[in-house]
Amino acid sequence: MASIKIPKSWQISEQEVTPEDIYLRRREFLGTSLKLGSATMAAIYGFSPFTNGWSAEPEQFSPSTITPEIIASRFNNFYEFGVEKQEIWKSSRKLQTEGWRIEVGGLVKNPQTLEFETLKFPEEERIYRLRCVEAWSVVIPWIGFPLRLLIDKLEPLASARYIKFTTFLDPIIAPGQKKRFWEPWPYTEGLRLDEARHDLTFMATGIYGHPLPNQHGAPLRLVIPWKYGFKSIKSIARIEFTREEPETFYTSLSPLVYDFDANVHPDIPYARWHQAFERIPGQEETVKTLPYNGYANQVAGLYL
Amino acid sequence: MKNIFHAFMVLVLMTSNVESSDEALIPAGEFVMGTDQSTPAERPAHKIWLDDFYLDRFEISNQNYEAFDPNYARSASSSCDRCPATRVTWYEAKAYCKILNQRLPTEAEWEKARRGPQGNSDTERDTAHYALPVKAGTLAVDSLPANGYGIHHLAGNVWEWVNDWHEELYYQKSPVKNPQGPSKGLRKSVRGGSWYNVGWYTQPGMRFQLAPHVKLNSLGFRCARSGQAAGGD
Repeated sequence: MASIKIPKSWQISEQEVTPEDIYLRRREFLGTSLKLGSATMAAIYGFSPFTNGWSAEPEQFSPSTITPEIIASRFNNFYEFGVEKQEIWKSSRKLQTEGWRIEVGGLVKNPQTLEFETLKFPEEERIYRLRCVEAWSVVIPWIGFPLRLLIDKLEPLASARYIKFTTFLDPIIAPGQKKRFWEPWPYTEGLRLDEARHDLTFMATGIYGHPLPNQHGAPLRLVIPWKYGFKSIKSIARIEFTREEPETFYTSLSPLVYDFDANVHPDIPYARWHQAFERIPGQEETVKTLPYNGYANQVAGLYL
Repeated sequence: MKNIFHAFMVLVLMTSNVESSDEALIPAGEFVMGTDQSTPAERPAHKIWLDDFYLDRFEISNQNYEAFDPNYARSASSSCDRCPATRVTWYEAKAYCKILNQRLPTEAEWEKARRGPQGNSDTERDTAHYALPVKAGTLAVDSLPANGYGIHHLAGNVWEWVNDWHEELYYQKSPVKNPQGPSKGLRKSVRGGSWYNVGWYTQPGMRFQLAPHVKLNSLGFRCARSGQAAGGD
């Protein structure tokens, strides 16, 4: 089957943002990966505040700088494995992802259990900014597929309006799930179905040209670039379609502090942090935060 | 003055339809404590002998606790009269039990009662309020059927303080008869899971820990009393 590459409004040339070594390794991963199907269907996406007419001053935000993998892989939030960001890459090693299964239930035509290794969708690479609610951000080259492809395969019922995601539960290897026993583990997140079907909403299976390592949410995670990072749930083990807005980990813990949308907005303090600026790990400078993390042109229409 | 207040509070508690006077007798004997299917804190499964003791059939309710502390504020997630009292520190729970000439159960007593006469190792859906949304909140303390000892809601509804200090590897050295926990520590053990915890947390052998001054919306307690073998409390 011939693949047609249609430029997106948030796309820039991969050479513009991708260092050569990553570019080459990505080709290796896309070309040899079996679990996600044909690599020849891959389309390469990126984003640019310059081509999209965003309001940021060019010198305040440099899209040509992908966060070095050594930084992105050693600075992680994954509270199941602890609260020290610099330790997660080590403490998450105990997570076993071989034979990973994803339960599918709720308002769906065929409740079933999916074998991760048998998921077959055309792969893409997308370079997204990820904005943490803690007011720091990274620029990450993800590999995966649009979530809507999976949703279409699962065939939710017409009555379904939301999608809920649940990560694994294994307090024996994830000490945070035991130490913080009063929190509603396992971690859950959710989206409206129109958000979930949006072209930007991405299911990542790889990063920096290789499969996801555990600290990034192996083997399968969500990436929603216009929402605060905690919405991008890691290590998904269950997907459920619902009629009502699902209770999520943070909305249930602190409903007055966390809302379901959690869209990035510089003018609205969120959780414990002012959100007007963000830090770049590994750099001293801070940059202005943009509405919807810079993806307003693509997603603001969802919220009119 | 202090003695007069104490006597007054005992009178109030004894005459205010309190469930705490409703106790189950757990006969003396052996049971298997801990589990080999969890973290090092629960291992190894080991035999323990306990003298007979009494344990409250119900969690202490809001109504009970307000007679003890008029300034107590019910949490929104456990607000009915007979819903469990929550947001109570270990110190406050201990003081409440003491005023009724009771005490907090030891961790071993709690687990023996939780396992029931058959030594259960799982959570029965019909006797436990658990794995629900946070917004569901607690049930009244006598809502679901009792276990084999006639005790309600040891699994789910709210976490429960026990008397013991928590030590992660205590089972590797604990005495085989009437263990009382370490002599000192920084955190107390809590047991049982709450309405929003999934089944793993409500299993009989699971141990958790919390600093004794902490209050949680999902944490309550019940009281115990030693039986004849120990000469009572």
